[in-house]
Amino acid sequence: ARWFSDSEAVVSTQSTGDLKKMHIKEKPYLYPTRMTYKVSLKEKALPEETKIGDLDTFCDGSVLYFKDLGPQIGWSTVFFAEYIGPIFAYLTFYLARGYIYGATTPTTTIQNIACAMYVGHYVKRVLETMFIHRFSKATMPIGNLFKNCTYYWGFSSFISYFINHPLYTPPGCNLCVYLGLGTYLFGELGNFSCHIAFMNMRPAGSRTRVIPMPDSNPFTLLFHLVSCPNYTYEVLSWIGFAIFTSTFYAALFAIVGGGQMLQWALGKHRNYKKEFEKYPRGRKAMIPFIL
Amino acid sequence: AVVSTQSTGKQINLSKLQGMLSKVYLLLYNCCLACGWSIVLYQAVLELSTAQNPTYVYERCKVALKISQTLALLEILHAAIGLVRSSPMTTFIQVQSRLVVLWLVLDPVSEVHGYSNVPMMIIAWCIAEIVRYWYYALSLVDKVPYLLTWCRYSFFTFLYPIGVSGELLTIYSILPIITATGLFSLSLPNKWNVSFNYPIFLMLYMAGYVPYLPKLYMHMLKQRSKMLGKAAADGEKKAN
Repeated sequence: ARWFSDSEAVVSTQSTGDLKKMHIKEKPYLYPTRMTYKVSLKEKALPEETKIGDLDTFCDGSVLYFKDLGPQIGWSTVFFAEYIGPIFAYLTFYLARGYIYGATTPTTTIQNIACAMYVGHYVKRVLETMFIHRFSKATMPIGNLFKNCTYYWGFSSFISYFINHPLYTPPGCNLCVYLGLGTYLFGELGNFSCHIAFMNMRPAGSRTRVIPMPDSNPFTLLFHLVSCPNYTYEVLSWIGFAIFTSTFYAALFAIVGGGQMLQWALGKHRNYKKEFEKYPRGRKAMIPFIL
Repeated sequence: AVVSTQSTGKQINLSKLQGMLSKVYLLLYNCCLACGWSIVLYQAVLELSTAQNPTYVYERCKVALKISQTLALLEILHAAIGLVRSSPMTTFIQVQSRLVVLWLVLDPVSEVHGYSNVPMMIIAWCIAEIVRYWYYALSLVDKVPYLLTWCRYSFFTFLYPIGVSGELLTIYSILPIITATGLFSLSLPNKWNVSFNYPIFLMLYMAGYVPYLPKLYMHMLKQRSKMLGKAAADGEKKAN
């Protein structure tokens, strides 16, 4: 939409940030994170804090296009809402078994460890969101909240219902139990190591992007092979969990989650290659040597 | 200079050849399926007119029906590779709904084959598909008579409701039977710690029809005014 300032003239020393403040005065329902400006409809939105004077073709009477991104919600807020569901759902099915299934027998060791694995994964995620992650965008469209929560809360209910069921059947072979648990732990440690590495690559409060490189942690060596080793490790975690619990919905979750992460990885990989001329050639997006 | 014009000449011929091959393939595909569905219709009508009750309609036409309907899977492929201009997702939804009713509902439960909704559903499917495939085939060679366009964009007004009613009634009719026999259902305990309640799944599936029919119907109505208006104008142009 076109917007002409009725009240104040825009001066070339001002920035898009100042424009937003003026705009909000006239339309109080707006807030900065849902507002973007463009020089022409075909170009991308102007980055934060662009100075009007820096825009090449601008002069008196030039038009700036405004786009309302719709109601926004903070990334942290979304993450917390997403992760509360799995923790709450799983603990409910684990602790209230008597009420839900009419269960009279206690849980088995495998069921206990599975609970620790599942809840532990999401507690880790909450802590990472609080202390480690540095987001490049402050907000996302609010529609994502409902979509994502349905996914997490839905899958968690199915997974935890079947694992905590009194008729739960543990995996047939001992190897699967140890292999599953080991893969899960490997994945969790690797994923955490990558998150720490990412945190250190981006100074606090900034939104800069750099070519990811391994740090002193051996788990981060995977950066040499893929752009998003954090996703690689996470998929391994869930595969490990599915093997450990021998549960269909856990396997389905690993596949669906893996597919989604692969899509994200491909997008990020593409962005890295576009942004950095010298991006290492041999690297793949998420699956070493393959994709 | 001679070499370059020769090589570009070859390139142009290659893509023209590809275009022609696609057309021939699609023409063959659409004609075969129109014939297949005609066979189904013939068998169904024959059985209805000679027999006293509808019990054997499905038995008589099930081979041709299964072949014709299952071949429609190719249409998803056609859309996905861009051979035809439809959306692969829409095509997938339409084809899978027929295949679910045919292979997962009607075929496994012989007790319902004699119910009257079955031949009604089959005949509705036949008429819709025969018109559709002939329309596609003749469109490829640009020889669609106005009458066929009219049929394609008018029959749906009653064929959709009849077909969908037939499908829903068929699904509904097997519910008590599969609840008793446990068809396709899985219960605990088992190695994969999963259970599947087929009757409940089907009930949710039926509920899924509810948002789709009005949307599809409205879309076809819009297409109708667009295509019939255009076809009438084309007809006048040709006359003048």
